Amino acid sequence: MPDIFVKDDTIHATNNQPLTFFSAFCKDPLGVRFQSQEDNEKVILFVRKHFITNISWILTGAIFFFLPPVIQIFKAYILLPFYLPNQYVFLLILFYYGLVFSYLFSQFITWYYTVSLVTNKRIVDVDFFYLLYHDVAITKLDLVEDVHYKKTGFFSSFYNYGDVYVQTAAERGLFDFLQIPKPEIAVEIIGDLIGKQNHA
Amino acid sequence: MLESTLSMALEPLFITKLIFLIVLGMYSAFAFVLSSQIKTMNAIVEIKNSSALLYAVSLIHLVLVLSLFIAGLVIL
Repeated sequence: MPDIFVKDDTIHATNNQPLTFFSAFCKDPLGVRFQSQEDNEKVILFVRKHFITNISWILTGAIFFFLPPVIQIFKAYILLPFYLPNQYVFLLILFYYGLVFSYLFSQFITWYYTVSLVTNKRIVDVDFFYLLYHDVAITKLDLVEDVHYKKTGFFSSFYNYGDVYVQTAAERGLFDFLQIPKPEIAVEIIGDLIGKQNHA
Repeated sequence: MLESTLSMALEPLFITKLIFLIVLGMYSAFAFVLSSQIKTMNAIVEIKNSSALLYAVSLIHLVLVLSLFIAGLVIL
């Protein structure tokens, strides 16, 4: 008779995975460290926003990238109120593409550095936005009271991403991991760790 | 002498050049902030290989922006 009440661990079995440049969900990641990591502290879960959530700025960047050739086509119909020498136009184009690159790069690093880590001891939430603002919040696992997730909308169902909320008894009450892939597995992993902490 | 300097300063091309160099200077400052922020964030969360690559890209970006500024000073 099959033992249906035995927990299936294959869903998040321990198999250390190296983090790639575009990883958004990684169980037992290899090669990730954070500032206050202790010697016997192991990162169990690494999450950041699903890559599909970047589609808006990628499309915006693509539009801006192809804008100058389009302007070139309709150049005859555009009348400038002043004359610009060729060297100015050349530098202006270089500057323009530099700005497009900077926009794409800054959006990418905003996504790249907004990460959440779950270790065998703590939960670490790093938020990075507007280039000049970063917020690092850390809580111990034994302070976690509740964990749940929310999936809303067509895209989140289609690409399987959602928001995970971790309620704690710490001063900062709520930790949120927004738009992360496989939120149900993340909740299960955190839930298991809370259980282990409570039984320890 | 003063009159000729003033008339040169009021030329549209001179004003365009000045605006262009100021904007490029601001862009250089932005590129510097970008690379220093990446350095700071790498100290907070370090992901093997890719963090170093991002910092390298930001430094190349900074060098290119500074080159653009220098090119602006020379060419314009």
